[in-house]
Amino acid sequence: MATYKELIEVVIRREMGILGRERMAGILADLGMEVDAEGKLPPPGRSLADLDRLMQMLSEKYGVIAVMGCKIAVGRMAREHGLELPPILR
Amino acid sequence: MNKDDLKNPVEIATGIFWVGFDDPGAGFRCNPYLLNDGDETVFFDPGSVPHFPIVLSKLLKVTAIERIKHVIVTHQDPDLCAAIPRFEELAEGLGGGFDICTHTRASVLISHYGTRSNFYRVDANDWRLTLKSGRALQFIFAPFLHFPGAFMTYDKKSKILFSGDIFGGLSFDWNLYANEFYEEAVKAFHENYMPSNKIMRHAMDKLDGLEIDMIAPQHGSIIRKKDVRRYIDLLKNLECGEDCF
Repeated sequence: MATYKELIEVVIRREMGILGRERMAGILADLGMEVDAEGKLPPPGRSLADLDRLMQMLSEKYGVIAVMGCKIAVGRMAREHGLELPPILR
Repeated sequence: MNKDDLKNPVEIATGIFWVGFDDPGAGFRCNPYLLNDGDETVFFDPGSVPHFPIVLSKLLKVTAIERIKHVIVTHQDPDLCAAIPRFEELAEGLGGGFDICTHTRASVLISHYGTRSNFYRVDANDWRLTLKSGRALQFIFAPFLHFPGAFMTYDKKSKILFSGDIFGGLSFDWNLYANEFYEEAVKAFHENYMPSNKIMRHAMDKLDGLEIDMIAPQHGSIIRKKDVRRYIDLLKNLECGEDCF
């Protein structure tokens, strides 16, 4: 069963490819999130609000390409596991 | 390779040059390429109107306008071919000229940019173009990836596959050659712009019989020989387009 933590990790991994490791690290630092070398978030779990904040920041800083680039992958996982998506990803 | 090296044409194989540009603010950029064969030049995906000056300046460092004999255009999107009329003007003024090599389905749209050159329709010429030297370019039909008339070009001499949109990536963190994260950029692009895994697999299966030393996409990063198989397999198995509904 996937969780919001795993959805966020999908976004992080995808955006490492789109934005690059450095830009993505900057986004995570601004949000107070840290990941390990494999892009995994430590406990505790994450929420819909955390996913929304991440996507809003990606949209504000990097526009539609950053959102478009991960929307399908995240949406598919969310649907498979019955997780609600924030409006920006619908 | 540092960013300064990218201010000049980059020779990616003998006589084959990348003449694009790095645009850090863009997640999407065009990679025009030149193939010099004797006194003939083949120009792949010349680029957009705003980028015409920079592409031209790089082109002139490795060839002359009059030597361009064929402009290969995988489809009619403006980011890769809207500048053609400008190159035509220069060529005509210098006593040169070229044909536009593309699929029939694209030719009927490309002419709306105001082009004047003759079309060499790849689907009406046995899917090949033979240069004066005898060098053969093979065209591989890749319909609906993403345009209905899309195709790839395989240069048998260099074993480079000029793949058009296929193998392209969405990336602000662009590198001329694919890095460890490029796979994610490729997924991001293909999920959004390609119609289905079935259609993708149909084209990828055609590549199995080819010896490919490099994949040079129209945007995104160049894929080196050691990674070619991995990326072909990636796209063979990638769900995209309607698979993701």
